[in-house]
Order: sequence, then structure tokens, then C-alpha cells
Amino acid sequence: MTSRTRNHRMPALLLSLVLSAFFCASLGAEEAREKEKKSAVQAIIGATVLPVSGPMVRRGTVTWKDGKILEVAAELAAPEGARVHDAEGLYVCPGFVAVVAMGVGIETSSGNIGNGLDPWDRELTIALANGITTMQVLPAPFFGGFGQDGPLYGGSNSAVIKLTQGDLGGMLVKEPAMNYFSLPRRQIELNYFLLRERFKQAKAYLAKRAEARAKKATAPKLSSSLKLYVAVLENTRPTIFSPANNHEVKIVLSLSREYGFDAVLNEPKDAWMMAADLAAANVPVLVKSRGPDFDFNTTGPLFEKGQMAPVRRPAAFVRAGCQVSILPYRRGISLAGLAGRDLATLHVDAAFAVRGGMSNEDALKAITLNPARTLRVDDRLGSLEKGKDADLLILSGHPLDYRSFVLKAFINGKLYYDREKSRIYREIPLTGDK
Amino acid sequence: MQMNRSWKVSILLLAVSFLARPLYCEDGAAVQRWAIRGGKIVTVTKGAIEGGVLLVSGGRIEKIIAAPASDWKPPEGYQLIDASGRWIVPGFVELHSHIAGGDLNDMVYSVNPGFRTLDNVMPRNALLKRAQAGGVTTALFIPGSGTNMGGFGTLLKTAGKDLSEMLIRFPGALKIAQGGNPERRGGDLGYSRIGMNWLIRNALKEGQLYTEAWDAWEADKTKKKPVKNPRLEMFRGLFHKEYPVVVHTQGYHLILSTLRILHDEMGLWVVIDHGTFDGFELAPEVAKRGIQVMNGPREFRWDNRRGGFRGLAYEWYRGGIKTVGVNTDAPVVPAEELIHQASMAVRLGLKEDVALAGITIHAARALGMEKRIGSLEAGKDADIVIWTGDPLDPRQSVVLTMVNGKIAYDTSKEPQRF
Amino acid sequence: MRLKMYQDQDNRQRGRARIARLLLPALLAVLSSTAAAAGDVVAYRAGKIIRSAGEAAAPGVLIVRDGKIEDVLAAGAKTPEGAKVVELPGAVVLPGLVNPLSGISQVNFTSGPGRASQSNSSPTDGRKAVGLSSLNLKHEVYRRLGRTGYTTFAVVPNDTRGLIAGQASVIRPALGKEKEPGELVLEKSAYLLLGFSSGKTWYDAGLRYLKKAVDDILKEKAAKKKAEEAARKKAEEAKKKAAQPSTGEKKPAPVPPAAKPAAAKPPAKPKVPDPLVQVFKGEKKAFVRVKSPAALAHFFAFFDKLPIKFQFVLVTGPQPPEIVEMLIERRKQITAVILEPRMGRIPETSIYVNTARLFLRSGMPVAFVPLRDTIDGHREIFFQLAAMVKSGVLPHEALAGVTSVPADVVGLGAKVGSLKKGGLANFACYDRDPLSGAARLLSVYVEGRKVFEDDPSTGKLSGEAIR
Repeated sequence: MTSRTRNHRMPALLLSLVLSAFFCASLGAEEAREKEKKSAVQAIIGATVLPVSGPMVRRGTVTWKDGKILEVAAELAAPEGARVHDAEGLYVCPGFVAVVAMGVGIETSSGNIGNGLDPWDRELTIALANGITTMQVLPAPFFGGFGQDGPLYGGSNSAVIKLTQGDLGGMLVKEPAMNYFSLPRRQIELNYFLLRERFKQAKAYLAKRAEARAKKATAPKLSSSLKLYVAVLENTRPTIFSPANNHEVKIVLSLSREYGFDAVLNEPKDAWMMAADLAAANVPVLVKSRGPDFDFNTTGPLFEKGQMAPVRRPAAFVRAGCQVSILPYRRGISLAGLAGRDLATLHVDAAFAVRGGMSNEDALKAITLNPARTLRVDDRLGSLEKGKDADLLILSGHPLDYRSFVLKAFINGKLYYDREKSRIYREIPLTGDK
Repeated sequence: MQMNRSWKVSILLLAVSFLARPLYCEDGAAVQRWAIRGGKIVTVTKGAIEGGVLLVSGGRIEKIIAAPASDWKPPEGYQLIDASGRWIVPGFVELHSHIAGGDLNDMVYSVNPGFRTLDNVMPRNALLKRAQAGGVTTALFIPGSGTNMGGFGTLLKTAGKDLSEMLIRFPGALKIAQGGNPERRGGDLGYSRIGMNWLIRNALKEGQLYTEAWDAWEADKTKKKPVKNPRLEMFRGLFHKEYPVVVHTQGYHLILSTLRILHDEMGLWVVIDHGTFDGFELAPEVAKRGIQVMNGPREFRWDNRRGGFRGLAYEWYRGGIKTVGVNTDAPVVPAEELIHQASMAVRLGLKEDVALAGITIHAARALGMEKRIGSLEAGKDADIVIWTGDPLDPRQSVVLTMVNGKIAYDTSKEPQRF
Repeated sequence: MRLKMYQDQDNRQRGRARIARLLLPALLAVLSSTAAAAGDVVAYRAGKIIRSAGEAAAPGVLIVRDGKIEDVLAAGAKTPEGAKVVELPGAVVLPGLVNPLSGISQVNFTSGPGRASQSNSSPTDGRKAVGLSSLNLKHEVYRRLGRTGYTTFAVVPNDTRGLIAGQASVIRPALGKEKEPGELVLEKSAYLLLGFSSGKTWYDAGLRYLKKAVDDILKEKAAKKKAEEAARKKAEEAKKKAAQPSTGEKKPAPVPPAAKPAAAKPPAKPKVPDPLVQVFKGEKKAFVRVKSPAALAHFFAFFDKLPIKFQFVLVTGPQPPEIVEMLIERRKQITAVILEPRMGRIPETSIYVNTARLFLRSGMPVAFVPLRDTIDGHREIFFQLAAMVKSGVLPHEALAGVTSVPADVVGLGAKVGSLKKGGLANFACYDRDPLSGAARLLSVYVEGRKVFEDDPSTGKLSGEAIR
């Protein structure tokens, strides 16, 4: 008997140690949680703050509580009991908004995007580590490569998501985000005649449906070929078009005028020439700030007559009075090795727009507030204003400085990325450390 | 016939006007003397000079005046270019370009030592014009990497009236691809690495023997005159180390075979022209042999072992290649974005001055051209680029590009190209 | 003459001896078997008996009566009267192993990875499928279950990729004489296996089946409450009426309505309870299999919205530390975790993680299932457990993961998984510590009967069942 009890003491001791360790750990966790609850207010102090909706604030303070921004002011002391992030010598700006992205944060897209999101997606973590806190995401049609570059197909589904790494709750902002419409590939009049016919049919359908609803009768059947047109005309969300040339831009503008729906132009190239029309139509434009790579065209002219270098286009659209959002050079995150050509360097794409004549302020707006406006979520995000979501970045330098890295990223007031704790850029020294 | 007075006067006037006329090149820019007043003159080799003046004549940098007097005026005959508030930077040197001509590869044979990109150069093409707008003034135009030995590349300036003006040196370098793309050919000898290294060694050995035979003949050491073979002729300069071999090589084991075969066994002057993936782990061995590395177009590696990014140029630098540079493999990355490649190398860890030196003086030295190009020093070619500010900052742009003392790109007179 | 007589006598004697020699063993066999069968006590004496994971191996005597463990005595203790003593010199005696999730011995069983790594692919409803109904007595594997060291299996129906995959039956290895699958069964429906994946089809199916079950329960509760309310009100009314003073003529007591003549109705079939409803009512255990981190996030997003929740055992694959943390926070809902005994790699890295160790350090019970759901897969479990121990799982935790923890999660902790009083006499003998990875399985006993014996000296494996 004695031998047995002696043998039992060791495992029993081990067990009790493990249990007490667990208990203590859970106690510690408990305490930490209590502390966090008490200091629900968080503050960043001492930073150069770029609210986007207003001028730069030096030695600024940003405070937030329960995921909403309380105040942005210069030389403001942090409130009593607040959790303080000292950002002396650093910059603070709103989280970047990628107006179109692909294949990030989605595990499956069958049925819808919201039920298939993946908050643990590694590409999401990388995008967040580079300052993107919100994006409009589409499912990727194929895997990886240099980062998703195909056309935006009509009928695509998309969702606006926040990159709340590890948290499904709070990730989906809205779905669907936009309608995607493909213009006919061959610009023959027959195709456009058919296009207009469809719009007419869709309008007629909507009238019939309204009538039926008024009479409390069953709605008429909607054929699948008209579905997209009806969605466009319903105008509960804007519709993205990818016009190949100015002629198609004219068509889009005329249709949107005639049928009263909101359009967005994806890569309208040289439509800045139609400045007056665009400004009058109040159509947001999505623009890339560099031309394509893998261009072997040695024999062609430098630019077609009257056109301008791609780097100058974003500024040209701003001068034309348009609301410009900068597109990432490629829509996905690529691990293939080419640096500065995908979603991870959206701030560098904005910097190239400055090269082309845009102001720094407009360029920063083009990757924050303007995409938020285009996506119709600017009531919640895109700038550091009281009442908006606390989606913000602490950066090692000015956001448009190519050397700047995100040190901390907050979404809905919660810290979701900390460069010091993450493995992603551990081997890359910051500017000051080189 | 006796010339009357009016005839004599006409002839005299003609003669005088002929002598007095300035020499124009085809696009109307005068071969002039320039006085470029900075701004910040970034010499690269001797630090930066604020407010200095560059004097250019005869296509060369004549002199740099570090601290001009307050009442300084450009000398007689020198046209002033006012670059105050700007940066004056040497033209960049691209060591891996495919845009200076048509054709990328001719892939019937694996080994093509007789091929010359000189034969398909397209001077003044649109892509070169864009390169000028990115501050690139010198490019090594090499064959693609579809075959093991693609041919000999041409070193040329990105601007000039014609090829003779643009040409710096032919052969610029031999191009060898020691793995990767040649493996896509599928099936033929040379598509496997074991096969391609055999073909490369075999061809080089043939060239070496040819060189030795001609060396012996020319030193009067033999009575047997070798037969001239255009296919092997260019190997002579290669083995005399008049020009290097630029090698498309990447990854640890590929670079290992580059060191062993091309440098150690064949004794060639080697430049590594990709060095991507995990090749940087061989940096100490590469540094020991004094081999230059131009990293690109891939500039980072996702390191699976650590779950994070590695900056490749930075890792080469850390491993001992203090002269590391970058390339674009244009058009994989557009030629004008060479500076963007340098910016990304800096973002991923490299120091700014190192990155800039890598695409100027170190790239020049890699081709043996450091006496002519790669820095702003008296006596060197006037390949001068004026920027709105720090070229590494993507927000800045080129306002003027001068090649061989002639203005090739001037945003005050034409639309911005990049 | 005398010689011949003597010779005949000798022959006869020799003949009798021969017959006796032949008959005796048979007689003894009959006697011994009858003796053994006649409710006798067997005392197994061994140098190392591990009664349950966490206890050290100690010399002792295992007393078995009628297929159940009567006691485990100390080494020098007196064996009971009439007990047959079986010496197991050099053997390490372990409780028989328990597999909480298997597809083995099913109709159409094909070898392959275990049910724990099977992905949920179609959000179907298979709640009526019970492991028992798919047992295949004709399948080879069914007779070999006893050779593995496992003595208890919770088997699920073949196709378990749906939202509601099916019910698990707990079985023992066969002895060879069974005619009906039911004879093997210890528990017909031990738990309901559920599954979930990311995607709209799963959410929709979840609403269609899970939410509906919850709604039905709530409706039933509401109706019951209403009926109780009504009855209570009626009783109150009646009380009030009784309390009132009688107003003259006494009213005749209300006559209960005459019993209706009983119609010739056939006796109602006993309603089979809906296993999903039982799960929500807490009357049946549930296992939930969810593989990827995203699927886990979606499952919990859906689950948290259900008005009625239930505790469950989570079946999942290798997970990185942050996912384990998230699951540990739900310790109240997740009672245990079933894992494969292997390391997992964090995607896009070469970093390997021992998920089991992470769970165990945080106090979550872990049960292991073999990597391959085959006979050999089960025999190899100790190699895999040794690998787990090498990367940080404590030896007793590894052993518990195939004995006491799986026994508890299928609800048979009192009977199997450890050698305790009143438990089934399921045990296996090894020639050394099984976690060394070098142990040979010597013999396996199921409910006191030897189903497998390996003779190390001859290298002969003796039968899948002893007759």
C-alpha cells in the first residue's frame, strides 16, 4: 500500500501544479481583462496626426472609446485612466481603404462572402500589416501568382470587410458592396442596342413589380438575364463599370443619366479629357498610378495622341473635379517576390500619384476618405473624426513615405496588429535602425 | 573666269557662316556647353554638394564647382540650367534590360555564343524613352534567359541620335542563364540543370581553347594560325576579362554552380544578375570572390521557416556584398522603374546611400565602366539627371535627363513621361 | 503362451493408457472451461499494472469475475477462494484502449484516414443513421478488432460529412460467435456527431435543422407553459368556487364525462426521440467536427446566436496557438477535444505546433484517435503517442488520451478506460512500457475473455478469437 501511495504523490503533485498554474494564469488573464474594461478609453499622444478630413495636427492626441473616436486635438493630455500609446515622433492617420481587392480574407465564396470569410487568412494579416484596415473584396478567380489582375466580371459579388485579424465579429461591414457590370466587348452598335433594350425591359419590370406590390399581388417573375440590370436600376448600391475607352465612358454616363443610377468608373484611363462631363455626373473614378508591366511594345509610340503618362492620370482626374480613389497596382497579396506591385504597397501607389502631380493631402485622401465615400461607408470610416470608427494606424513615418511601416493598427478601437509582436516584418529593420 | 567682288563676298560669307554654325543633331538640340546650377549635386562617390555647379562640355563633365561665388555667372558659351531646389544625380545604370530591341530569345539551340543583341538593337524606341524619364541613362541590353547561353549583350546609353552615339561597348557582356527559365524548354539537352551546366562548360571550354590558340598565335608562340570562327570570336575578350559574363542565377544551389563553374573553373569575370530566393545565404562565398550582385526583379522572399519577409538586397549586403545593386529585368518591371526597385530595396532594409550607389557607381564598375559613368566627377560622361527631389522617393520625378551632354528629356518642353 | 498373455495384457494397458492420454486433456479442457465459465474468479498477477492513466505501474493482482473487474489487489495480497491464478510475468497491463470516433467495421468500410480528419463536405441531415445499423459482421476487419489493443470503439456511420452526421454506437471487439451486430454493442447511441464548415450552405442548413430543432423545443416549452398556466388558473378558479358560500341548493357535483368507448386503436408506436432535440435538451452528448480556423469562427458565430446551447466535444485538426486560445476561452462549452496525434504546420511557415500540448497545458482534456482508421492504424497508436510525448505531451496525458478521456467523452467512463471496481475486464498486456514505442502487444482480454494472444517465443499469432 505504501509503495502505491508514494508513487501516486508525484503525479498528483504534477497535476496540482498544472492545475494551479492554469488557475493562476486564468486569474492573471481575468485581471488583465478587468483592467482593460476599466480603462475603456484609449489614447495616442505626441503624434503628427493626419485626420484627412482636416489639416495636420502636430503633437496631436487621438482618443477613442468603445470603438469610436472621441477627439482629435493638439497637445491634449490623455484622459484619466486611459490606456496610452506614446507616439512621439510618429505619424497617425486613418486606416487605408483598398477600394477593390481580391481573394483576401475569404475561405469560400459559395453563396455569399460573409458566411465564408476567413479572419485567419495570412494574406489578410499581411494587408493589415501594411495599413489596410478596410477593403472591398471580391473572390479571387484563380490562385495567387503576382497578385490578381484580370477583368472585373459582370455579376461578381463583393463585400466591404474590415481586416479584423482573428475576429469574425466586426469583419463584415456590408454585402453586397457594389454591382459589377461588363460592357459588351465588341463595340458594335447591335451590342449597344441590345444593352439599351435590356435596360428598358428592366425598367418596365420594376414598374410592374411596383404595381404588383401596391396591389399586394405576387411580384412578376424575374428572368435571370435581367437580374443584373434590375439590380443596377434599383440603385441600392452603385455599379462599377470598366470602360475600355472614352466612348464607353460616354455610354456609361448617358445610361446613368437616363436611368438615374449611380455609376463608378474602374480604370477609365484618359477620361480626364471629359472633365466637365465627369464632374457634372459626380461619378467616382478608380485609378491606378502606374502603367502596366511586361510591356514589350518597343515599336509603338510613347503615348497615343493626347494621352498622358499613367502616373499623371490620378492628378488629372482630381483637376477635373472627380472623386479619385487610388487602386492598388495589383488587387491581391503576392508572395512571389516582386516588391511594390501589389496590395501590400497601397501607400506607395498613392505616392506615385503625387509624382504625377497630386498633392500629398489628395493622395492620402485617395486611399482613405475617397474610397470610403465610393463604398458608401464614409459615415463610419475614412477619416479621424469624432464619432467615426476608431480605425487608425501608427506609422514610423509619413504614410506616403515609401520607408514608413505600420507600427500599430487599430480597428474598431482594438489593436489588431503590432509590428513588434508580429513575425511578418521581423527581419526588416525600420529606417532608423539601419 | 574672273570672280567679281560680289561673288567673293558671297563665298566669304558662306565660309564664315559655315564655320560659325553650331553643330546640330537631328532632333535639333545643340551640342552645347552647359552650366547646371544646383540644388543638391549627388556625386555618389564624393558626397553631396549643396548649391554647386556642374560644367559640361564635349559630352563630358568638365568640372564641378563646389562653392560658386555669390555673383557667379555661367561662363561664356555655357547655357545655364537652373536646378536650384532640385537634386542632380548621375544617370542610373541598368544591368538587365530586354527593351532596347526586339526579340528576347532564339531558343532553337541551347548555347548561342555567336548571338549579338547588337544585331537587333532598336535605338530610340518608346520604352527607352520611358527609361530616360526614370533617370536611366545606361542599359545593358542582353538576350533573354530562355537558353543557357543567350549570346552577347550590348552596353549602350538610353539616348542618342543613332546607335553609334548610343553605343558604349559591344560586347557589353556574355549572358548565361544557369537555371530556371531554360528548364521550361522541355526535353532537349540543356533543359535539365545537369545538362545545361555541361553545355555551358563545354562551350566555355571551346572558347577558352580558341582564345588560347589565338593568344599563342599573336604572341608568336606558334606557327599554326588558328581559323577565325565568328561563333567563338567573342570568347576572346571574355577570357581576357575585357567584359564580364552576367549570369541569370538564383537560389543557393544555382549560385553555387555559378561560383564553381564560371568563376573558379573557367576564371571568368562574373556578375550575378538575379540572386533571388535563398541565394543570399551564399553571400560570404560570393563576396570572397569579389563578385558583384544585382538583385532583382524579385526583391523579397517570403521565408517559410520564419513566417515573414526577407529583403534580398539587404540580406546580400549583410552577408558581405557591400556593393549590391538592383535591376528591373525590363520589361518584367518597366525600365523607368529601376529607381523604384532601389526604393523597395531600401524599404526592405538596405541603406539609402548603398541603394543609390548600387545603381550607379557599383553597377558601372561591374562592367568595368567606372571611369566613364556611374558618378558625377570631372572627366566622366555627362549623364546627368535632374530630379525634383530625392530620387528614391516615389513622389519625386525627373525634370531633365542629359546623356552624353545632350538633353534627351526635358519636362519644361514636353509632357512628363514618368 | 504366457508371453502372449502378458503381451496382450501389455497391449491392452498401453491402449488404455493411450486412450487416457488422449482423453485427459480434453477432459481437463472441458473441466477447466466449464470451471472458468461457471462464474469463476480469475486472478491475473502481473509485475506492472497501470490501473488508469496518471497512476504509476505497480505490481498487483487483477481480480476478474464474470467479465467484470472485482478488484485490483496489491502484489502480496491473498487471492480469493477458488480463484484461478494466471501469471503474466514481465507483462505491462494496461486498460484496453478506447477509440471515440471510428468508422471501422462499417458496411463498405475502406481503409483510409480517420474520421477525425474527414472533411465536412455537404450540409445534410443524417441524424437517423446509427453506427449500429451499419455494422458489418461479415467484414474481415470486424473479427480483427481485438488484435489492436483497443477494446472499445465508438463507431459512426460511413458517411459522416454532413451537418448532422449520425449517431455513434459503442462496440466491443467480436469473439467470433456473434450472430447479430447488436451483441457487440455497449451503448447504441452514445453521441450525435455534428459538423460545420464555412459558407452560406452551412449557415442555411444550420438554420434549417439546428435552429428549427431549437425553435421546436421552445415552442413545446411555451405550449407546456401555457397548458400549465391554464391548468393553474383552472385550479385557482375551482378553489375560489369551492371557497364561496353555497347559495342554497347544492349543485350536483359535476359528473365527469363518461369514458368514451375505447375504439379499436392499434397501440401507438413508441416515438423515437429525435437525437438532435435530445442534444439541445442536454439528454444526449454531442461531438462537433470543425476543421479550419475560419470554419471554427463561423461555427461559433452561428452557435452563439442559438437561443439554446449545448456542451460538446470538439473534433478538430492541428491548430496554431491563437486558435487554441480562442477555443480555451470556450472551456465551458467545449468539454474535451479530439485530435489526431500529429504536429501541425502553421500555413505559409515551416513552424510546427503540437496542438495537443497547447490544449493540455491549458487544462483541456484531449483524446486521440489513430491517424489511420485501420487495424494497423490502431496497432500503431503508441508510435504516434510516443511522438506526441517527444514534443511535449506528458506520458500520462498521452495514455489518458486513449483510455480514460475517450471513455469519458462517450459516457462509459465507469465501465471502460481504466481498471476499476465494477468496470469491464478489458485489458491488454504489453512486454514493456507501450509509450517506449518498442512494446509488443502480448494479449488482449475483452470482458474477461482472451481475444488475442501473441507468443513471442514462437512468433505465432494465435487467432483473432479464442474458442
